[in-house]
Amino acid sequence: MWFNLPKQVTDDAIIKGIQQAYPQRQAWENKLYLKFRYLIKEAIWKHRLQEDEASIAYSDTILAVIRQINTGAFAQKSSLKTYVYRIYQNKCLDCLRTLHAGKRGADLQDGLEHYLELLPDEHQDTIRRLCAKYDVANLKRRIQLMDERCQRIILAWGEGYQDKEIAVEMGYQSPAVAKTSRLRCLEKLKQSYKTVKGLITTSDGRAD
Amino acid sequence: MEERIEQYVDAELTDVEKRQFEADLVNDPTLADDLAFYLQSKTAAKEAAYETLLEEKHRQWSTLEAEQARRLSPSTWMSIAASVLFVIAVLFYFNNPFKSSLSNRTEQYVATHLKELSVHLGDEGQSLQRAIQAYNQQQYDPAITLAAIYLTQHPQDADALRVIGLAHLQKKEYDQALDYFQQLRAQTQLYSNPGKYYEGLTYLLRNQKGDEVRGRKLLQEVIAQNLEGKPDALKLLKQ
Repeated sequence: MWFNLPKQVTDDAIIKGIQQAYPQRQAWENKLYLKFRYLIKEAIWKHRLQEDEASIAYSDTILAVIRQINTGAFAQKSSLKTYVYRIYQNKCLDCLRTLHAGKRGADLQDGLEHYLELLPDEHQDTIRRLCAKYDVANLKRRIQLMDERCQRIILAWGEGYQDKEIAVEMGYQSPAVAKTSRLRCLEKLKQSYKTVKGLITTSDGRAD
Repeated sequence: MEERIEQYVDAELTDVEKRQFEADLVNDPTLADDLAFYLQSKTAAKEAAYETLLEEKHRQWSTLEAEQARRLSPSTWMSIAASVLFVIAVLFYFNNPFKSSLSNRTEQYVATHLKELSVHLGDEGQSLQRAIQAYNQQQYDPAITLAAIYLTQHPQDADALRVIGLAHLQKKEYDQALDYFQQLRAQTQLYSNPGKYYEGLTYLLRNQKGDEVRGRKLLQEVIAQNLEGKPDALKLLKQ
């Protein structure tokens, strides 16, 4: 053959590529995204989703798969294609549930339940009731309205960064200082939430 | 906000501290409320961070997709080039501009070699002479009429059959031409009979299904039997 045909990227190559550090990993994440993007068209047809809805659900899927590869949750018992397909179907159904019934995805509720399980049984109901006072969607909007530094530190905490990583990234003197600043920002968030409890939201979901 | 809350959630308290914290939760409504707020904030922060990351990745990947659509990879370009070459090769094979088909060559031959017939100075009838003149002036309809008149008086005349057949050939009326050439070919008493040769040319020009095989076969017979038209038949088949 006097020219090379494009080679199909194997599952193993993608998995090993994603397990590398950035920036090498970026190229493999892109390859994973491009490899199964045809599923978007299928979802538009099958689930009657809009193109942007199907597209963002696909990005969400790829992000989830990347995380599972990195945490080792993807044990390669099925092919990457099957794995991506299954997760994407669930994401699409989640998207449909949110669109039609306004229900939140099960995975979002799972987060709180995971924390509540840390408590003794007799405290769980009490804390669950108290948690209901603090609406997550409203809290997210309040986070977006905070000053840039607080916003960054809270998002970094939400992303799972340790205080020592936050200290390096944001230029704090020590992890302890980063922790104090973060807890102070959480306090501000609480004050903000209590002060303007019923935030008025515009039709696009942003706070007024 | 008490640091103990975070230490409790992160399982960093000792057993004693943990039990104390849980006991305090019952007695201190503010602590319980703070814990609830902390848990919900953590959930909100996780969601917000994920949404921010997703938004960023989605934008990046969507750009990548659009970019890929705009810029084809070298391998894709090579595939396109190979496809184009293949199409050109196929077209070249079936319609080679440098090598005419036998039918095309025959058409050129008839257009250049059979435009003019020699006028006989013998005792042929006036109408046949006029038919040949009309043919040479490319007035094929009068040529056919005049030759046909002559044929009514001389039904087996080879020259008249030739003129009518060739006039029909020039008019691309191949079926009529074949009819006259076959009559001409049937004449066995002629010293030199071009009937088979003209019939072969007519099949090649008509070029219907099976005509090329028939025409080629007739020309080969002309060559093999050393009939009139052999040198030109050789040229046509050898090209």
